[in-house]
Amino acid sequence: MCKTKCQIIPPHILEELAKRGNVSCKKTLNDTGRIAERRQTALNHLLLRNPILGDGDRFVYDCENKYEQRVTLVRKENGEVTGDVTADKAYDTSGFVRDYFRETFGLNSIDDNGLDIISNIHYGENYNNAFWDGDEMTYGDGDGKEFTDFASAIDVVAHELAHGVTQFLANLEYQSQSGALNEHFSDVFGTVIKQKYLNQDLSEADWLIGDSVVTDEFPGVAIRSMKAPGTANEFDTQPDHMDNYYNGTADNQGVHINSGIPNKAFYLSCLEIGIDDCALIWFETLKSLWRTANFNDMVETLVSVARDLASDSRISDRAVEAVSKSFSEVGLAPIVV
Amino acid sequence: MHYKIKITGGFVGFARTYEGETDISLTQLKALQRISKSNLRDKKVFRDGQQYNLTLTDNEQVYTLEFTEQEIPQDLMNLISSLKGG
Repeated sequence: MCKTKCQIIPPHILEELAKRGNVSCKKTLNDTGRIAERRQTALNHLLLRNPILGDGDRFVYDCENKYEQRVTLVRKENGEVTGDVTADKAYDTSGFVRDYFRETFGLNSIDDNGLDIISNIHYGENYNNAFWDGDEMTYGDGDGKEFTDFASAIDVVAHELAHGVTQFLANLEYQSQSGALNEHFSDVFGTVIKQKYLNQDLSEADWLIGDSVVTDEFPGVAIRSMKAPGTANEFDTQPDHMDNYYNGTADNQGVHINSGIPNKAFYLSCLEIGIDDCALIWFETLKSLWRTANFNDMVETLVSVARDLASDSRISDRAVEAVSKSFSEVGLAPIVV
Repeated sequence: MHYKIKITGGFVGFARTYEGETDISLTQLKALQRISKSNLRDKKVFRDGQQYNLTLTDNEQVYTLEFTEQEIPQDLMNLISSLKGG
């Protein structure tokens, strides 16, 4: 007799024993089938159920110079101005970035499901960094010597928030070329949104990333330059061509280094067809890429996306040529043009 | 005790090194090696996190501590902050 022990016996043995007249095994087999069916039905309901959509509400938390997130909520959506310049800037800039993605691409917040936008400011002491941790953004005040107030910089906020967008679209793996692409997309939307925020056209834009978070004492003008990678400061080693590709292991195999190569190509493409057409091509490409995509995958996808958008008259009919030419100039010629 | 902190990665991207003397005791150092980790440690998707490499030299003895942004103990971050600010 099987009794409860039948549950750990493989189904084909249960089936054979049931065929031979074992009632207990037959019952167990039937129960197992019903449980599996119920599980599948529950799973189907779960998958079919419409997700609860949020509104992309903003929440700004003051970390009070501790190395902890969400210490004190200082401002939320439609809340009063706090008087803390950093808090109010983080609120305004994260709203600008959210609205840009919504109005330009129809994206409902970071995840297209209205995810709350959470900013942590005044993180730690002398903390020279900003990061996206998979759920929310966190900004340091800088050490005051070389870096200052990361949360107040529109390009930094757009860069970090774009990491979230990338996570929910292509989820590019954060190492080597896919990681450099992850960084590249954040710089792309960082610079595009900065130009929109400052009402700049191509001739006025500086194409710098993080120029407002470096102090006068800092040996350089910014963290990175999309126009001229490798020239933003004394430590800037970003290449602007595949000939100088970084093959080392530091920085997750150069995610902040090799992003200079596609960054330069983006800048060159913008000169040819304008920043709005490029932003659309890059956004649609991000939707089509996958976790392990490399530079060549990116170029092929960009060209394919540009061709489709141009044929729908949504962008310039010179886009395919412009993107191909720009990437060829940095040593990444498309295989099919 | 002589210290050298090398911070790499992060939004800033390039390496930054801080060096000098600290009055951290050996007991404190041992405690730092044992204390609980950051509240960020369960975060799996991390972008622009920094890597921390801290070398402390006491006469001939060299202590090396390496952490990612997710792993680094808060007390050690406080120590690094004080060293950078000092």
